[in-house]
Amino acid sequence: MIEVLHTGALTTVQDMGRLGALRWGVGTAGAMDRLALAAGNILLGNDDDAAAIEVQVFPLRLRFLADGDFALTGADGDARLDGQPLLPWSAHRARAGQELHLGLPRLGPARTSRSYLCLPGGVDVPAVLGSRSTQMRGAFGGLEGRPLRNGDQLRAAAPQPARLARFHGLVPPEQALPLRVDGLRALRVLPAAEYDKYTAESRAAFWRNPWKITMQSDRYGYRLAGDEPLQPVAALEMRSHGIVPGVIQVPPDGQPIVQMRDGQPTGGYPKLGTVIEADLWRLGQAPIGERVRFVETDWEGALDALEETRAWLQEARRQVALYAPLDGLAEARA
Amino acid sequence: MNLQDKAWIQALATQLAATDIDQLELAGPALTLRLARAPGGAVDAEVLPTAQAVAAGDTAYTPMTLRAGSVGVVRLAHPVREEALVQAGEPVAAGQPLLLLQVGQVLLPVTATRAGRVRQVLVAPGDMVGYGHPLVEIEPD
Repeated sequence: MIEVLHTGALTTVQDMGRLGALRWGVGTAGAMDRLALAAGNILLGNDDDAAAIEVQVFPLRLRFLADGDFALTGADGDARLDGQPLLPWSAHRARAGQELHLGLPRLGPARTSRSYLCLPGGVDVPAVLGSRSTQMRGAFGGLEGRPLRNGDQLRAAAPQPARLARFHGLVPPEQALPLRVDGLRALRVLPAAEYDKYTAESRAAFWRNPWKITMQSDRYGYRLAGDEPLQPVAALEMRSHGIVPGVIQVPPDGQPIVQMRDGQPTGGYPKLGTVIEADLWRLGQAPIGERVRFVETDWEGALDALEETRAWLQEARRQVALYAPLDGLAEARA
Repeated sequence: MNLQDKAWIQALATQLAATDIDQLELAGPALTLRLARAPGGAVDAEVLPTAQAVAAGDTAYTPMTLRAGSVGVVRLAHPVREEALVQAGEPVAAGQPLLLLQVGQVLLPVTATRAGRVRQVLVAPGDMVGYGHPLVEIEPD
């Protein structure tokens, strides 16, 4: 059991997302960095999609009301437990009464923006439509369908400390699966339905230029800004249609919007491309103000990238299990 | 287990011969057993006092030398950070991570067993170390 002592805005409970509900007009929600979520869960012997706390406005302070293990992944906010520094991307053990402090993510070229706090068995909130993710628009899921507030108490689904043999960590995917172009964070993109309706110059500019993540970027979508706005060959008018996280829409001003995890299930802007599922975590960690590059890929490339991600997680789980006690959780899940 | 049990050592040697492992060392509080595969498939066995085995393997041994508890590749800094976890001369608290051993994707922290001051870091980033390899010297408080 933990108690939130101080939280910034928009700290939410998230799992892998409410998949399969788009047909009812319910957006997926879910962790912005699903790899960091899965990695934290792997470190505790949880299922990949156990619910965790996603932090995007810092600092966060909370108190452990009982002894318990936890894992921290994602942005490195110089976490401290009762003042003692903690390693990032690692599992740790807290004693009842200890305070966890998570500060602003460190600056630097590999800066990231969202941290994940995982608990044994996941954060114990009810599943709604098959997921524990907070659905902000619908105000359900997570804790009472809202961001966490000071004084909130959350339980771990498996509150007794998991029998971790060692408090190890994982090499973050940012280092294990790097993807940069000209020194900038890069994202692989599948051309989408209206790609051909943009001028050849605009299409080239889309791949060639860096795109800045503007202040108008959040869990719903990232509004980007580039030096060469994207121009359609002729004005496009479209009916609203189904869209998914990753879709890159182009409003009339020619500055693209990438739909993120809290994106709407429908939209009416033309779609230039889609950031592939395997790379959405990279964008989910890109801080406001950073410039990113797009790299063209195809269906096969997108599937290969997804497979590479799956293989990394599978291998991480296998390797972490080697350090778990033989009668522990890892074996039960093998 | 009895490190002087000849039948048991023989069984272990037979198992070792069937693998591609060249050396096996089992250290108990008093005795250390070493098995090494010789050319031709034979296995040499040696039992010696643990203190002597440690001294033979490392002349710089001091009681406050922290040793690798696992095989791994040395990382003095966490991969998301640039600065080393500790520098020579710095004070450290008991339980504080001093360096990391990377095994595949897993990072194993090597932590200070007691409070003190870092006298010397004995390894460099990227060093491949084995079990028992001396890593850091701590001057206890």
